[in-house]
Amino acid sequence: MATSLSAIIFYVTIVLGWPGFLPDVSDDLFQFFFNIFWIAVGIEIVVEIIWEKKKVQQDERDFRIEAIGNKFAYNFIVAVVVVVLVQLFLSGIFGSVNEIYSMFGEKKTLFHVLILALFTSSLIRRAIMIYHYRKDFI
Amino acid sequence: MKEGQISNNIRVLRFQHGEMTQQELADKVGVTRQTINALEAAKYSPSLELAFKIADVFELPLEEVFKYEM
Repeated sequence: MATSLSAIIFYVTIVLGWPGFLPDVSDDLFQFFFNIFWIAVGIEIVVEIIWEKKKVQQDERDFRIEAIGNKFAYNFIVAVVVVVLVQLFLSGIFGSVNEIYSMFGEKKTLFHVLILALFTSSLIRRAIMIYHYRKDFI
Repeated sequence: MKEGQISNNIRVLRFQHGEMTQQELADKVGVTRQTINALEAAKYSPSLELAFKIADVFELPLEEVFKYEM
């Protein structure tokens, strides 16, 4: 989850740039999320190694929770793709009269939206899974 | 239609079978300890296969381990 979140923040900052009205702490922030990214990757590797040593790595409950997470992520991706397709259609009609609509129809914008949707769906999947794991112990 | 709930006597049965730990039961039926914990707290309904395996460990018929309550 931390890796997905860091990747999203990295990507958004690289694509959109640092907002001008905020004090420029982009270098510090970059370093901060860069560290988080590598720490998260390290933790994920350690967790994988620990799981490998366990007798039962995943059982039916884990698969069920994973399936719920996948379902939410899939629904999100489908919703984004539908929005993108509608947007493409509308930008074809209104693009010539409205500048903002013509921007939404650009391949570059759609590419960024789809990449962000992929990262976000991964984040949603993890968040839903954590929620369901925690729910058992509340 | 009102949804029912599956309850079970796993905790009692564990203690009646030599104070078996959750981990021991989990290893016998091939799931994680967390799943046994969730089952005992009635926060997870097992698959038929798992339910039969648990009943088999306690050498009891399924209906003496699990109950469906409307």
